[in-house]
Amino acid sequence: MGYIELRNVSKRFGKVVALDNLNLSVEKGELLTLLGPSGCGKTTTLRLIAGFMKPDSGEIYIDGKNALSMSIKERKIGIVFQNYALFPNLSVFENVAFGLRARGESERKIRDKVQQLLEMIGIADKASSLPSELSGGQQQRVALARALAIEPKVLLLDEPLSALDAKVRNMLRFEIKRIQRESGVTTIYVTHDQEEALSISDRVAVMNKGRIEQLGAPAEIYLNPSTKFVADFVGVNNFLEAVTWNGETLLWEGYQLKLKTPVGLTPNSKVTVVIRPEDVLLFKLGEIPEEGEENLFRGRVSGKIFLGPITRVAVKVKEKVILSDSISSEKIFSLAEGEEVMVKIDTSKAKVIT
Amino acid sequence: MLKKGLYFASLTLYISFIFLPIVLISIGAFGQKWFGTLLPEGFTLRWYGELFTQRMYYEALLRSMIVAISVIAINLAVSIPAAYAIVVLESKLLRSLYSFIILLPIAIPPVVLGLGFIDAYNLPGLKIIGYLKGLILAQCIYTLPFTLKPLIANLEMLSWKSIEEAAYSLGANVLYIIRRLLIPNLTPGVVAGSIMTFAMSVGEFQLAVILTSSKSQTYPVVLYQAFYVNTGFACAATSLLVWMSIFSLLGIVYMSKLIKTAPERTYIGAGGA
Repeated sequence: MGYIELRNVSKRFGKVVALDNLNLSVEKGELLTLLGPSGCGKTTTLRLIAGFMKPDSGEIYIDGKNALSMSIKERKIGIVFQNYALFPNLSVFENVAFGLRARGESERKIRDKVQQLLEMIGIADKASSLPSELSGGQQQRVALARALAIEPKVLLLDEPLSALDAKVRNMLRFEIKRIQRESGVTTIYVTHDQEEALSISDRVAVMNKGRIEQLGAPAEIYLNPSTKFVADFVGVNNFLEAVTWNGETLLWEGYQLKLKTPVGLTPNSKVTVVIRPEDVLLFKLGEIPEEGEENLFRGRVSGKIFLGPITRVAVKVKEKVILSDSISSEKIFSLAEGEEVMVKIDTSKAKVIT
Repeated sequence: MLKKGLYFASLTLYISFIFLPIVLISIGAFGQKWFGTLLPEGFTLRWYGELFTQRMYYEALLRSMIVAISVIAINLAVSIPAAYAIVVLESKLLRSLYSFIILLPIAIPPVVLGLGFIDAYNLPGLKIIGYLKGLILAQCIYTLPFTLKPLIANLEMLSWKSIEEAAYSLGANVLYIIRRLLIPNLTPGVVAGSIMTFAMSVGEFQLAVILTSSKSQTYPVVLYQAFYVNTGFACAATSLLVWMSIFSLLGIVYMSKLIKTAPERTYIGAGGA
């Protein structure tokens, strides 16, 4: 049994099904991310664990005990909100001390604990400031310290970084990871940002329509998406709708597409080939012999976006657009719209979804 | 250039149009005689003096104060739980009820409200019509939006729902949250709403005319009657009302700057309490 366990949990809001028989098991000390688009049920899951609402059916266990018969206070859960939700009339010190005071801890313990936390998050010098006098990043650090002050069994983070600008967000991401490691607190992190999810999690649960589509380590989710939704949500992908010809050859737009690993399907089955833009290689005409090469198609450049270290080029093959990422170079910059090029699909990295 | 000149000219005209009556009344309050001339003649402080010596006027002023304070008290008692429910429960029904209440003073003119009150509650045993309590109740209906709105704005600006959830998860109980978070953080809304309601109530005329008797007349009613008797005195009496409104407005402006009241900057831990 996991440290946090959700069994067949369902929740509706009127006619909208927020959670549909959800099962989730979170191990002690791990950082698990719920990743998904808005309305997928990730925040509802968090709020059910926190005790802000009750499920329509199903069971929730925290540390082996039935959470549904526990009050919010008894659950001992630390929460960090997207909008920080700091207490505006209280100083940084008193914000962090709030839970300890409410739980009637001794003055000595409060002082030591708050001091230690403020040093850990690096704002001990702001102890007597009001939240409104801090930057967004600092406010979210205080919110984190406040949640950790009660030594929670579980830490819940609800889109904690989405109100911050990119630079602060990237920095705080690693800090959250570090603090979570040091404190060893079991953490559930909610986000719609796939990069954030992949970079800080021990495991990622991709959610869609109140269900978990796939649960696994970040690399597994990224490299081996089990559904089209996951593949689409976790990264920019090309989806080639094809039919099987034989075990290792597909037909796509009248072209043959050779696979490295055969799929065991009867001929004429519909499949989707998922291929990342970085696995679609781009060549100028004449750069590569057109005869004898597998999975090489002729197309026209229909657009390009400079993304810094890489440049993404859209190539139209027949009527289908294929995205190809290349290292930014003079060769790529010189491509003109409408120019004929060759694309080679590296099917060894392709994923076939039936 | 011409456009700019035109803009300033029309703005000046507009402002003069609004302030001219107030300026004339302020001047008139110090004039000995004002009849058939553009400006009053002579200078006297007599009218202001009489304001506080003539029993009829200071009693009416006192009544107006009683009405205003009662209206504020009742409105707050209704509005604080209502604002809380509207912001925290996130119910669509409550929201639409709120938009309805906000429109009430516009949709139902005070004359209609006042006459309706007479129709509905003019029962001998009830002692509402002609008594202050009738006026208080009618004014409560009329001014409720002005108490409710700042409170809702206040709670929404705080994102009260997540503040409360954060506090509960940290282990606080209801009383602790009310004492340590709700009261200090809601003070600006309470003060702003009260000042606004006070200004509305003290100057309210239509309901007061309809619902009071000669023994329960409030200040604006008495003042209106004075205009037919003694212009100078009436001007002084009106000026008083103007001053009260100006101070109320300044109060709102000041309070809106002090939106973060009662901060607990110091912490007990530092002093070794």
